[in-house]
Amino acid sequence: MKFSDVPRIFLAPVLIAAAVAVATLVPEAKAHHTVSGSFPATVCPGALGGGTSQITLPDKNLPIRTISGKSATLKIQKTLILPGSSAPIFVSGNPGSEVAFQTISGSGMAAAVCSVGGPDQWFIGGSGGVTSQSILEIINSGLSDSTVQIFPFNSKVALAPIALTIRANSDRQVRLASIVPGSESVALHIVTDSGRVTSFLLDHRTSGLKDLGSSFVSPVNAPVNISYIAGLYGSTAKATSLMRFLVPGNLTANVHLTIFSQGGTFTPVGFDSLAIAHQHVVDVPLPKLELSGPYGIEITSDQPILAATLTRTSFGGGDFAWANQLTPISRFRVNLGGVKGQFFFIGKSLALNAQWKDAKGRSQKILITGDTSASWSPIDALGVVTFTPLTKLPIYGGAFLLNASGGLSYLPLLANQLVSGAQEPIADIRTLAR
Amino acid sequence: MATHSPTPFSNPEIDLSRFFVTAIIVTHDGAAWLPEVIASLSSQTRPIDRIIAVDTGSIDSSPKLLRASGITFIQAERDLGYGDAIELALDQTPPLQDPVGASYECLWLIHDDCAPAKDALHLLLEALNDRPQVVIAGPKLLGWYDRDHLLEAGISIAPNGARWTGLEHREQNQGQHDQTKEVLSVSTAGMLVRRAAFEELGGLDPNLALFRDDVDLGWRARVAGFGAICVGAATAFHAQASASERREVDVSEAFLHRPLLLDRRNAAYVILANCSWWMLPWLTLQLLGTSLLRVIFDLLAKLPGYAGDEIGAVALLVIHPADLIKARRTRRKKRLLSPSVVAQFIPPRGSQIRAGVDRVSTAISNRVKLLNEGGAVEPSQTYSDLGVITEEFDEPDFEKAARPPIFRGVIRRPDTLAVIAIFILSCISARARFGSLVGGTLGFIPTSGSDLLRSYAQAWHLVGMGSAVASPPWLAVIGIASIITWGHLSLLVTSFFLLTPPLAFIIFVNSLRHIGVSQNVSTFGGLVYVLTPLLWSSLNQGRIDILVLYLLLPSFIYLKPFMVNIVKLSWRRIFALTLLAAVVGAFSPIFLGAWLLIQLILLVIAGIGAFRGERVAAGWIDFLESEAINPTVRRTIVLITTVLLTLPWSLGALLHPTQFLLAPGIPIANGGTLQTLFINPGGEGSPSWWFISPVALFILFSFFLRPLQKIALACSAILACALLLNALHILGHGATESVYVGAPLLFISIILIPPVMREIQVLTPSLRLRHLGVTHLAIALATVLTLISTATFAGWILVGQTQSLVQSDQSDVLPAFVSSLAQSPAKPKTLVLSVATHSATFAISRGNPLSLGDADVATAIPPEIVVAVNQLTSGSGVTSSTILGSYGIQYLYLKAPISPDIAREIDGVGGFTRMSATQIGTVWRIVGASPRVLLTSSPGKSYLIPAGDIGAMGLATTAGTLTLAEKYDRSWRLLENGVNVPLEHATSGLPVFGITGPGKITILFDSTAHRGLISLELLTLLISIVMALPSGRRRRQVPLEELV
Repeated sequence: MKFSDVPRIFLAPVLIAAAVAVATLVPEAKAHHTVSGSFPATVCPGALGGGTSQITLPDKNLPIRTISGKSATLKIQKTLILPGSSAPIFVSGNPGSEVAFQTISGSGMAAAVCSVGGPDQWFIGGSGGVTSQSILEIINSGLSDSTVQIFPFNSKVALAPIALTIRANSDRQVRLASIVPGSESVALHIVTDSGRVTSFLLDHRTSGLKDLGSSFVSPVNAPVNISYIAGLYGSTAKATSLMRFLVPGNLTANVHLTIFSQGGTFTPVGFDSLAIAHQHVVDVPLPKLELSGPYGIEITSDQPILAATLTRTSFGGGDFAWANQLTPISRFRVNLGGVKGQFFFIGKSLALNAQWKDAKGRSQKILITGDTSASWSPIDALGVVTFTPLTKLPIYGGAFLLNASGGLSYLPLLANQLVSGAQEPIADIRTLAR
Repeated sequence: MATHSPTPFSNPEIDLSRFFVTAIIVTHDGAAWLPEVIASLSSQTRPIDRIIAVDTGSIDSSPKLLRASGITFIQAERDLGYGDAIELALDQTPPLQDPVGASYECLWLIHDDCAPAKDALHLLLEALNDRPQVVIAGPKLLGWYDRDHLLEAGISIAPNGARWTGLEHREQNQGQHDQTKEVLSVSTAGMLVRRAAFEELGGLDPNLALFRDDVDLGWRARVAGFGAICVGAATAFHAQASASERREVDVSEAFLHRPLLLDRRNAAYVILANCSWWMLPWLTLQLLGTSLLRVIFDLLAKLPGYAGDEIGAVALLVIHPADLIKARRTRRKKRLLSPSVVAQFIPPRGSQIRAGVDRVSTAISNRVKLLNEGGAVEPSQTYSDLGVITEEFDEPDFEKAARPPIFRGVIRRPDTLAVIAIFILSCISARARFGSLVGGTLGFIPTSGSDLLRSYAQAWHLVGMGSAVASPPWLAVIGIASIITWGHLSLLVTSFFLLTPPLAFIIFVNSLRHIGVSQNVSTFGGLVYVLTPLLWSSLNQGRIDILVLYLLLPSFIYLKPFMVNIVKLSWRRIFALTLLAAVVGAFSPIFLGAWLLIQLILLVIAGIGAFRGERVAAGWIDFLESEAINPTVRRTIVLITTVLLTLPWSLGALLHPTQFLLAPGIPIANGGTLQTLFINPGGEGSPSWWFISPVALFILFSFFLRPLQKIALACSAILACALLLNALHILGHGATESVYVGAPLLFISIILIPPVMREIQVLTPSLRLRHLGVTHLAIALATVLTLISTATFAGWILVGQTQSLVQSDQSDVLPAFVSSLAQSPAKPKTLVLSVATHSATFAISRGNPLSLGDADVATAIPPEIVVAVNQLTSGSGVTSSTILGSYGIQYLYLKAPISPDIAREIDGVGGFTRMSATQIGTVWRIVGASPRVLLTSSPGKSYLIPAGDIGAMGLATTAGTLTLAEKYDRSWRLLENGVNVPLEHATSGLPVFGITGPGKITILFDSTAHRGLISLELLTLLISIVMALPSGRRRRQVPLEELV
């Protein structure tokens, strides 16, 4: 081989290596599949069961309308607190969360985070028994008629589904007792076949003329194997709790409960490996827990499971509150409307900021941290609060709100305003091909 | 009367002395043949009683020869016709006065290039003697030079005017026509005719100065109740000097002295003058149709003069109808029998077709033989041909080796075995591809090839929001190719997919053999060529372009298509190679782009060479006439022809050069850099990256062999380009995808494999003689790795390959409801939305499934629609329905798997009414969507104008604005009461027109420019084909020995 041939041999690898390098290193100009982060509109429930309601908004300039089957025109009300109406309220997309507070009578108070809704909503809670005044409100905020199927479960069986048609821009209220008559333990699965449907379940109970309390049952999107409920009222001397489970699959679930509290982490007796039969609602009372503050629960199951905690207070007029499985907190803003609450968070090496304005209008900020859980009990009543997680690990949070007359309500810290990763469609003729 | 000696055919007992024969020779520049003619006449066994010659102004030595031979001859004008010359001779030779003798007086018409055999007259008279009703008798005519070549044994005329002899092409005289038979006529060369009948019939028609006068005379004799015979035993040797253009035709009727023109004119004259009146229209049509066909063939054979003769012949008849009328009248007077008596002598259509096919097949086989033997074939002369010895001597002395049985012969040939193996592999691989194919880059295949051609010719395509992009030329090629399967396009494509691997192997192996590679090495090369990921992934992905390239590109191995040395090439070769490049480029835009670029570079180089200062300084006129400009001119023609052949698509590609990087069909994803590096284009349906193509190994090992280093470097450069292109994503054909580099990877195979195979062939014997070294190891390693790679790949084809994207599954993507919209006249648009986990896409459908070629004309969707769809899916699309509706989109279809979130967003935003929800998808109707053509009056009222596929026609009842829900294009036209209305571009991007008042409106897409470009393309194609075809020879160019 001549020396003059050497460069030719080396030129080729250099050429190819350069091409490979350019091809690999230069960013690909592929068709961008952009994820849009727009905020879809949310829906707040109307005043149910003859109660009064108010809706707290995170911003004064939000366009809203009532869902009354008539006008679909949005208007800006220039207020942070809307007096409730019998009709549900449609709030246009925004980065905050709205909360609906409802008082029916007596000391009872119910709070619900206004919701976008979804094709599947599970309600684990409520009763169809003799004390039940519970109402399921199904709201069609869309401008086309929608069809909905209700799949009820009680403690014995999965009942026959009920199909409903909801006219465009209207709602429909159904008494729970009519869906699952006589059943104390109830769970509902609302499946939307078509339409923009949001459902709310208000569990309201009376005994004769005595109001036993009310609470919204928060919707859950799907059963999961590991879930969290945080911000439960922990004063055991004045309250009792029970767990409600539903295993919608076809296998019995083995459930393990872990309690997170300021005092530590433990598993209550009997909840180490609790067998929960499938396809019907199972209520299991929680044992008396010697807790002095709010707490949270981790529910681990070998089968996808739905769970909720019912807490009853016995002081004052007495009240109860349903707490359901949570989704991780993302940055969100909520107007608590001057309610005083106690917050509890679960998560590993959790850290989050809470920002609000005090009564004098000064900005306040607190860093909430903990190894596995943390609680925050603000001194003052809170208005608009912004929570900002500081770690990428999931943090679950909730709060109980307690008034002086014994009214208890549970507020899940659910950031419902951000729709999960909607892809921006791109024009592509391959859509027409197989 | 002189006595005569008997001949083998003659009967000496017959007394022929009562016959009186006058031989009339007409000479016209026939000195070349005249001596032999005179000699033959004087040596007749039955002597001629009287000879007279008429010389029609010969300018050669004919008069001198006649004079020297003692024959009485008359000098006549040079433009005197043959019939007139005979008349002149008859005037000088009064008929016999004895009525009995007169009935035996005969005229023997002799041409100056026709020499009868010495017994010809005797045999002719014998035949006449036996048949009193026969007035015309003629000998069997043989060739002047090849005296076994049968020229005629009686003649007739076909309804299309062709001279009909009933003989095969170059039929040899073996005594098969030696019997005497009834014929329509015989040639005037050697025609013996009873003088009385001749005169009664009026002699030869003076309107037929030359050619076809013989048939006419025979025809007239037949209908007058006479007979004509060909006496096969009598022979004459004819040079056919006038018909073979060996002498000028100077008769006054021969316009421009063109014998073919005269022949064709006379043929038509004879038919039209003699046929029944009720046959006239049909025969006229036949004559015209045949003339037209002959014109086409003559033009294709690059014989424009002959084509002009055909047209001129028809024109001459048309401008002189009086001659014809007069001739028919004259014939009617002398007709005793019905014209149908000649029907038995008119050749049936089947015979004509058979003769035509025979002539064409003989011409092709001769041509092929010529090509195979690399030049003109001169049949080997045997000793018996030369007359030295007898034929028996030529018989081979040895015993012919017994041919082995077919099966054993087949299995002994490695290439045949390989073809069978590849075909089996192809059949197994195509197990999901039996039937009408769809999928991958293929859309639905139209039923007929004509559908593709129609789509190609259309200027406006109903794809998406509409498109004025020109269809790619490969559609036209496939459409035309469907002729092979009688227009059945699916069958063509399916067969093509099945047969491409074995065909590619055969073609490649033959190409290697063409450059001198041995059978075994060629077979090895063919396997390397075919058993590569590129071919089989192309089959799975439906890449019809790569499959076509697999069949066409091997010819590049020996054709040298880039024409670097263009000056040395014939025009025929230049046009043939340009045509080939255009066909390859039609399927592979990337090749076309590279081809045009290379030709442009070569043109610039040629231009620089030609325009050097000193050459131009010599003067522009001299420069333009000099040889220096020749390469530039040729290269320019190549460049322009290639562009014209791919019009109108190429025009769009030149304006938007990224089009050259788009592979035909629906875009699909490629593989990554690693796969490309190993000569595997990748993508779904292709093997994993570790199936390294042997070609990649060849590049590597070629660097160790000095003769292959340059080629290896060139291949590395192409590979580097392919790697870069593969990383490039471009928008086109309705989607954004990376550039498909299958074509450049195939070029590498074409460039590399042949020299590698040649090197293997050279090295293999010499390796035995060398000491073990690096070369041994390199070749051994390359061979082992290639065998492993090839065998592994064959295994993958058999069992391991992933599912083919191309399937014979014809189920539609769209639900039946949406598909049915394609049948409605207005073809309303449907927005099809598909939301998957990681991507969401949409497209606009007209109801029709995506067909072959649709993706190639797809254009970008207006941004307003894109925004509306994005808002719709994000839940904020309050105005989405209005925007989509304004573009005439009437339905929204969400494909399965349905995203419940998206479905509820669509339900929620308003303006969309659910129509159906099934497992395959959900359909909404868009409330208030505009029709395709909408007239909005000033107060805001809207009126629908009925629309068809593309245009619309209706009545406007008021003034207003007319909006067309199609993509804006400058070619949209609106005629309001026949007056053109200016086109405006609405802010929405739609075409709008201002209507001034009530009246009739017509909307159309003006495709004049498109039609013009297609016409230009077709014209260029025709010219290129004509230029590329072998030229026909004028008769005067054909060696006389070949003719006669």
